[in-house]
Amino acid sequence: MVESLKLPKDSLLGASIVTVTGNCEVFVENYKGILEYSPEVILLQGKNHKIELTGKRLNIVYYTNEDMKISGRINAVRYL
Amino acid sequence: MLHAIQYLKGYLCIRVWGFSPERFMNLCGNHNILLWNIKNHGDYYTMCVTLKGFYSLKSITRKTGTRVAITKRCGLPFFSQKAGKRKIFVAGIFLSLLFWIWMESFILNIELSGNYYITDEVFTDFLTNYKITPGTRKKDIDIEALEKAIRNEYELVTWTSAKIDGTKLIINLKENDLIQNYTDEKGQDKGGYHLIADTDGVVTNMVTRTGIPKVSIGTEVKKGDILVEGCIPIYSEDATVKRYEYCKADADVVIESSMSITQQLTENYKKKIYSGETKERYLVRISFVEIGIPVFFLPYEQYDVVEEWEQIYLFGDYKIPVCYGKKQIREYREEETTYSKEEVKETFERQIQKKLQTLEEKGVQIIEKNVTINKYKGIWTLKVILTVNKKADTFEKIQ
Repeated sequence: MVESLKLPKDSLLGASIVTVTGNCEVFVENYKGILEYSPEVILLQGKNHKIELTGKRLNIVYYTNEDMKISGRINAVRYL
Repeated sequence: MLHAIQYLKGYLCIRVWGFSPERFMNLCGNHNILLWNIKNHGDYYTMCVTLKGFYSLKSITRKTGTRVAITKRCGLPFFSQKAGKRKIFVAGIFLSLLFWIWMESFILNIELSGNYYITDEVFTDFLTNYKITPGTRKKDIDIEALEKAIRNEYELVTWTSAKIDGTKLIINLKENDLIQNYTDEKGQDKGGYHLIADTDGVVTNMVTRTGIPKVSIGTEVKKGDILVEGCIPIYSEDATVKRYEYCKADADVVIESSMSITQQLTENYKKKIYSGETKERYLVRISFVEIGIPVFFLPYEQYDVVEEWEQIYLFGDYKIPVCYGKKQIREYREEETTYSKEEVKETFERQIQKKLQTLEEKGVQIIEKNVTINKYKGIWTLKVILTVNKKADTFEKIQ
């Protein structure tokens, strides 16, 4: 139905959007909250799954209810 | 931009520690409290929060079992607290602001454009008489009255526009391009002009445009002779002169004449021999007070001084009474010397070339040059006899 009506998937399915710029910046939208935050790991709760960002010197540039921006050296983005 | 808004609204850097800082962040997000610069330091987190958001943190900290401490206060709302400790600094800012606003009420620079016949100096004098100079208050200037005054003062100004742009008074002029014709017309009204010979000689070429020619090619003329008459007789039917029509004679009359140039030079002279010893002093002149660095007494018996000055301008051409420069003092001794024949020749040649160049710039065509150099009683004399072609350009008013 989403396909046929050409509606945005993120708003209807609640899918998270993860935009990675190089290996130094990540922009995340549509998440529920932070589960864990350390300089090496950031674990975010999405609607149906968890997103794990691993790297070094990870900082949250800003954090709001809708989106967040993470900087640092990103090693991996995993869906759990 | 975001930083500027954050600074204006004020924000706090806080330290968060306790049971669940992650939940604290999630709840802040849910309550639309913006957090930024979040860093994990192991035992505690640091972050920035808006001032408004900080006031609603109490319930969140209670729920999450975290504790919050302010580490730094930033932004304009906290500036007054800091400023209280730096009274002179704040006073300085306010005074400079007041000075700036006060200076805005003056004209600091006058820009003039479109003037060709009226020179900048003449116009500046007019403005000075009209009591408009850099430093005049803006409110004392009536733009419309000024424009009217310019048009009344200078008849050849056909259009004028003045405007104040910041601290600059911009005056645009439009002059009458046909000014030459205008004066001609004026002259015609008064009775016209004859073209007369300004030197003795023979007419070698002649083209008349306006007026009655009185000479022809080959005619020998004396200084003051009428070459082209500025009054044209209008004859009646019986061949008698009915009346005269006056005009300004307009013709190209070339007269071949001879002219002489004499230059003298004494054989003996005192030659300056520079020892190569120099001293330099840097100068600053504020109004009439001159300061020179370094200060020293002149150890030379005979010396000459070369000064170079640079004027300091503000806003392009606003002159302030401050100059800086350099003074060079050079030692020399005088020695009695005699000119050699070659030196005399060289000096005379230089002088004569300069004279000839001046003549050529005036439109004089040199046909022949006869140079003689003689020495009599220790004085060298140069005599140059020139045969030149010169266009007559002297006018005589018809009485």
